[in-house]
Amino acid sequence: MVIITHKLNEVMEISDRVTVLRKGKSIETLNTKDVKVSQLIELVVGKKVDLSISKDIIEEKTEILKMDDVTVLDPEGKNALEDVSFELCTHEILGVAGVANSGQKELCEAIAGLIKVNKGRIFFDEQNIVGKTPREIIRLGIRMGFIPEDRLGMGLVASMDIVHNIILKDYQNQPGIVLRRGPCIEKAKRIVQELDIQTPGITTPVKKLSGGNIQKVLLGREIDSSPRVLITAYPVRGLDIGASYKIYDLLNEQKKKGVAVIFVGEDLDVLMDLCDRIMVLCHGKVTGIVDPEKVTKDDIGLLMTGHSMEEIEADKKEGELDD
Amino acid sequence: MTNPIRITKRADLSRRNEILIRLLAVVLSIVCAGLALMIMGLDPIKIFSSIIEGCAGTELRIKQTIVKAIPLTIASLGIIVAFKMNFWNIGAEGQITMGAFGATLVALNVPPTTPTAVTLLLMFICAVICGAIWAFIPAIFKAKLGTNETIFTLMMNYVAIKFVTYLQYGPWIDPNGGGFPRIAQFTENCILPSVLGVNIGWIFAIICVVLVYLFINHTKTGYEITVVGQSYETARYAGMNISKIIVIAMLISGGLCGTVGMIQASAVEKTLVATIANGYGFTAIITAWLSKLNPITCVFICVAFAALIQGGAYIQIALGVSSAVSSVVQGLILFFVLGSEFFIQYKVSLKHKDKEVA
Amino acid sequence: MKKTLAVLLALVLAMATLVSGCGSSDEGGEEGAATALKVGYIFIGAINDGGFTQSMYEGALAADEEFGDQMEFLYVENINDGDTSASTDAAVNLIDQGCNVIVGCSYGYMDALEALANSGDYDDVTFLHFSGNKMNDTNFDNWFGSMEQARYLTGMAAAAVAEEGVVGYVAAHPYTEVQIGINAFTLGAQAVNPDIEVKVVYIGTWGDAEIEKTAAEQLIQAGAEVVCYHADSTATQIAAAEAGDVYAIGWNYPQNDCGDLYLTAAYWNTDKYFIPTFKAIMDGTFVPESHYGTMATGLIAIDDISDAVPADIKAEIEAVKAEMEAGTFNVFSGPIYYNDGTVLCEEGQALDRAGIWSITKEVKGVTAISN
Repeated sequence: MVIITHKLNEVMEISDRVTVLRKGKSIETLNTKDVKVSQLIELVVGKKVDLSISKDIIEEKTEILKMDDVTVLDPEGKNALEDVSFELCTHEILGVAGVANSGQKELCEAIAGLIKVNKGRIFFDEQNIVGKTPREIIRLGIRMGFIPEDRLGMGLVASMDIVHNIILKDYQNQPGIVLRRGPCIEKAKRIVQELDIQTPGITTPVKKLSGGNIQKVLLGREIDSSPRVLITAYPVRGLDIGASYKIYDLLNEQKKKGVAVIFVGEDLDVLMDLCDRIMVLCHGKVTGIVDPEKVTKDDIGLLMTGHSMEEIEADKKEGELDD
Repeated sequence: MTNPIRITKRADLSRRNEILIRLLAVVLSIVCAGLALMIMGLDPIKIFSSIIEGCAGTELRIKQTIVKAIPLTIASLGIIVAFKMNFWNIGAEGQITMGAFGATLVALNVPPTTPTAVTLLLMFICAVICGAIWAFIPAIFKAKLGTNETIFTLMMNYVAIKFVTYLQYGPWIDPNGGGFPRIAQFTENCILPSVLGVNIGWIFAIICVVLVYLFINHTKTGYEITVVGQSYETARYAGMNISKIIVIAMLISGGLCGTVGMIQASAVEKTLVATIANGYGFTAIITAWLSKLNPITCVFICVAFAALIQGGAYIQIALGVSSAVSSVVQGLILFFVLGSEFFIQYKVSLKHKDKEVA
Repeated sequence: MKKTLAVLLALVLAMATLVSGCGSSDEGGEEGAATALKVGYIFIGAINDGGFTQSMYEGALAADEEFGDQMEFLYVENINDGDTSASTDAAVNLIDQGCNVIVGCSYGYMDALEALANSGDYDDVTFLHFSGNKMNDTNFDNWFGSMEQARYLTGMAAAAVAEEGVVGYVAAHPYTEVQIGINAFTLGAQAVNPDIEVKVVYIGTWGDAEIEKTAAEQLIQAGAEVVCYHADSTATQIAAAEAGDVYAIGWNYPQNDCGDLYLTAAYWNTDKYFIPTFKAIMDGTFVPESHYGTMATGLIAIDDISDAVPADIKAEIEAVKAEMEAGTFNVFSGPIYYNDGTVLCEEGQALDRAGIWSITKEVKGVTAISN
């Protein structure tokens, strides 16, 4: 049996032998029991990486975004989000967990003003932004960054170069009818340098870059607009471990600067390590907002499949009694 | 392995190789056209030299080639603006026809004493508006209801042509035409002047090329059109008003085609006929595509095409060959040049047996 | 890449050798001495269209035959007559090949020919334009003919075989030229059967075989026993042949595309104009005028009438034809009423050429619809 995965824990748990592939070449084949995860990572990435995600709890939090009883219908008229309420503060990363298609996409797009909210309100600094288009939200002076799940299909224009992708966020604030490239060229150079983006140049179409570098372009652009809220949907999907950890570092940096970050993820270990709080969605409903320090991965798993925290607590107590 | 030929998408192709492939395509097309002509029992060298003679042999022929390149270029620019947005405007033919209708509407109704500059300006404005309206209709349906613009714009062509046919044979028939179905000729003050022996349309064409180039590459709206063309989702994400952008782009596209109608009616036919667009709207789709939606390249492609049309007409007479011969030559050249696009985008290689062990 | 280049090079070389071979065999195509007359024809369709362009081409061939060595001709097909630029090019290209007579065989070439004739650059070229109404005093002439006469006779033939009295007519556009034909046809049919019903379908185009055929089928469905047409192709005849029991009448050129169901055709005998006109040009006696050929001059003709038409009516048709040839029969002799009840021609009067070309409606007995 062959299993192909980038989740190294899975490899360690179920495989007997492991072959590491990098850039189409077979690097090495080893017996699983003879290697450690860190060695494997080194082989995958090609260099040593720091595998720890730091988490600084910052106390000075102020509420910046609040979702109040929001319902969003999908095109078939079913609830994609149902009565979702939560608040988001500065200096924190709010994780969003859930099995795929539990309303994560709708949650992000509702905040960004990209889809119709059928019920409820979303406050940004006490200002209700429901019913406003992205353009109107920008006009209100609200600085929001959004890394959508589909980075080449939504966040970027695949066939355009880095400069023109950076203009995407910038041009609406330019006066007049003329498109000014100058400032964006500077910005592009800076982002390439700061995020260490591997590219032949700033005029290379982004679709020709690797997944990690594409994500850095997108993230770099969003961060560069100094957002106060940064929404990231699966920002490390498809990236190798090295690139993933670079992204986590960047998000942590933003948090320290006071940005309120929403992190939609699928790897529970990462969610637990990175986030200050985790909101769990199931069929568009919030089943719990938990502190990762106080719950286990199993608890989150149960929340993801529709159990409530109360049920889990009750079960736990029962279990203890049984013991 | 069943299929020994492997087709893969090219990751990257150097500028030099791209040009080489294109040149190769042109050479191959000429070689194959030559072979086809020989099979038909004709002398290819004579045919090709006659084509060149036909399009550039005398001053008059050069002028006539330019006269044909003018509508082709401006119509191509109109199509480029729409195609940049991935809006398949197949309706240039109808937009040209309606532009000519707009110009004629003014020409038939102004008093003959009106100063030429005034009538021409009015004709121009009216032509642009009519062409733009004809493009606006499918645009608004696409923007608001998501209808398929290809079929819509195509059908609008027939509506426009039938409408002008109706006018020509009905309400606008020239009472002094002796019972023949024609619309009255324009009076002197409705006819575009000539510059250097060719109607002033060539200056319009150059101005339009520059304006469209600047519009697409150096304005915010031009940028928005390109983004919408690449991805609706991205445009939405960036907060663009997609409906508005579609409408603006199509108004420009239709306005440019309307200008073509004005030039053809005022400078060439000096009246309105149902066939005023004369296939330029369709040929312009090919030229726009061949120029890779670049307004500057488009000029050269359009002149080359006009030369081919002009030269093709000449060989029919000079060498007494059927009109089908020039169509064959044109068709083959197109076939190869369009075919080369495939080789630019894909790499075709033979699979080597020894590598198939695994 | 190298391999491709090599193959390409080989191909070019192979072609070059072949070309030099056939180049040498093609010598001697040029005529040494210039002939007195070199005529260039501009045709709207193809010379084998079985209709209008073919009738023009046959005339050109007949004229060529007549003058032998004194004349040469060139032609160019499929020139869109709504495109002045293309029409001008065609004429200029022909002149550049040495043509000193240009014959424009469609109405739409008029402006292009007029501009060239009056430009001063081509004073030694004579322009002969079919179906127009413009001319000048020196080198620009127009010609047309009284097709109403042939239409009248075919109308008689149609009525003779239409037992139920229903005849179909596929027509291009509702305007004077077409309406003259419909009216003449109807008057002829009424001369045989006063109650005849002529159903007309206007198709809104001159030449589109599919549309013409659909219209003919529509008329056959509506009970037409005979179909005729004023459009470019013979699709109407084909529709009749497919129906199997409907007669058809040809137009423009005597081509039978429906076998036994072919009654006759109204057509142009164009050599009857070309030969005398070319002769006048050669003799230096040519003066432009607005020609209107007739049965008398022979420009207008009808094909032999099928035996499906009863002998007595055939004799009647021949008699009227003889009168036309003698110039004593006027198709539009009053009283004639339009189908809206207004008068086209008072009792005791007859329409002259100008009167005929002022017709704008269909006569009584016609029901017309537009597709």
